[in-house]
Amino acid sequence: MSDPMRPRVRNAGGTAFRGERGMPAETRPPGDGLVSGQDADALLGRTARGDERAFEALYDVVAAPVHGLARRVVRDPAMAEEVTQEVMIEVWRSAARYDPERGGAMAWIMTIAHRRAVDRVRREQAAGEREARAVHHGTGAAHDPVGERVEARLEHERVRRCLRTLTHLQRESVTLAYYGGHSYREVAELVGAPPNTVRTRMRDGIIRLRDCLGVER
Amino acid sequence: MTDDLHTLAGAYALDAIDDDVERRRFEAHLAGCETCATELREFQATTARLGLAVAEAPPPRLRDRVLADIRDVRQLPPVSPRRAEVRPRRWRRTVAAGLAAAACLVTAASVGVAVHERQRVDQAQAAYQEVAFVLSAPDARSATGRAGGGGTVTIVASASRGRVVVASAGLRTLPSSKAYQLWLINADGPRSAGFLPDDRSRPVVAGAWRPVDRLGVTVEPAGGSARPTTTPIVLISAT
Ligand SMILES: [Zn+2]
Repeated sequence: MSDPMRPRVRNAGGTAFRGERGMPAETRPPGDGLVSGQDADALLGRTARGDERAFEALYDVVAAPVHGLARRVVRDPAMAEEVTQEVMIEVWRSAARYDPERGGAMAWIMTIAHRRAVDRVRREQAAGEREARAVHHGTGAAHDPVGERVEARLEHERVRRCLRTLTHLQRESVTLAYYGGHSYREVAELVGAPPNTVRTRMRDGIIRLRDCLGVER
Repeated sequence: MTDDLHTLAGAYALDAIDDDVERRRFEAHLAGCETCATELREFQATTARLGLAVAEAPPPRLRDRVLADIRDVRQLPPVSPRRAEVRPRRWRRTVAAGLAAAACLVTAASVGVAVHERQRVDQAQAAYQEVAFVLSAPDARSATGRAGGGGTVTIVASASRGRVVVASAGLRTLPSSKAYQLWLINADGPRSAGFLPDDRSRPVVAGAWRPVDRLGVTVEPAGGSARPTTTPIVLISAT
């Protein structure tokens, strides 16, 4: 529980992939999320003008991140698929509303995805169904490890390394909210800290992550 | 209180504010706080990385389903205040009142919407963004000019945003064959910047504004003119 990313680490193939690309372990490889991000920018621009082929290509770039996040947050595989579907349709619908000045296309799409997933969790929670369904379908079972991309594995490593630079409470606050879909009040209860402290740690934690990951400022 | 709101950017980026009132209050704050807006942009780029790190391909059948679905889904048009459904009176007062009101504007729009209609709130807010974007600029300047035939025209211009918001009040009603056309005017001559909308109380955003530009309004045929054909009823400088 101290590292919610850990249960999903699927194999130790990261080193081999880095070798294939001839990249030292600590440098940022091409083909990571950032490069995909540039693809996503261009494709989203064309999608906004009604280009279905561009949307198809955009789907291929972003569906795995969107779906992986949805699985993490809502847990139930069928529900995660529904969320992914909703998100992709929303991307198609609102493409023209995307404003590049407010951040990259990938961040925009992942923001929509997270919000949808969390909304779904809160609705299910309100209906008292979440736990039952999660138990029924089983949690944590990887259903398509083959489909996981090399970039995702490298990104996974980087993020995991950066998460380790956070204090314990910062890390708990960030990951319980992001991957667990919990509100800061819920996190406060889970970790036994005052809500105000948790929300401050969330901000501090993201700032530290931002700097560690070298997010453009 | 304001300090409190600033610290919410992290929780907001994590979608960790489950209290609708609190979230709205932060969103209203966001519209007028450059620091939080910038921070949130960076935070969302950061949390996206947390998402990319757990990528996992969906089953192939989903691709077919989504691609089939979008054929029946109409795309939304780009955000434009002309098309936005806003409350006219509030708009006019707010723009005329100047910059500080930008945040209140968004609050006013958000409040009173049913709690679970977050998506609709998002859309409404998107409609305000273009105006709020100019109003919230640190270098925004406002000026009001009295029009020849009665009424006033107010502009809020920002060099950093390169845009000017134009609002009018009490202008003479024109026959349907005529329209109020906007011009950005400098030493190089006038450039058309669109029209005042038929619903005169709505503000419009004109792009490509530079500090050397003055804003002029002329009465033109409803279809507009390539160059002004009448004397401007008002000419305003924002500096
Ligand atoms: Zn702020």
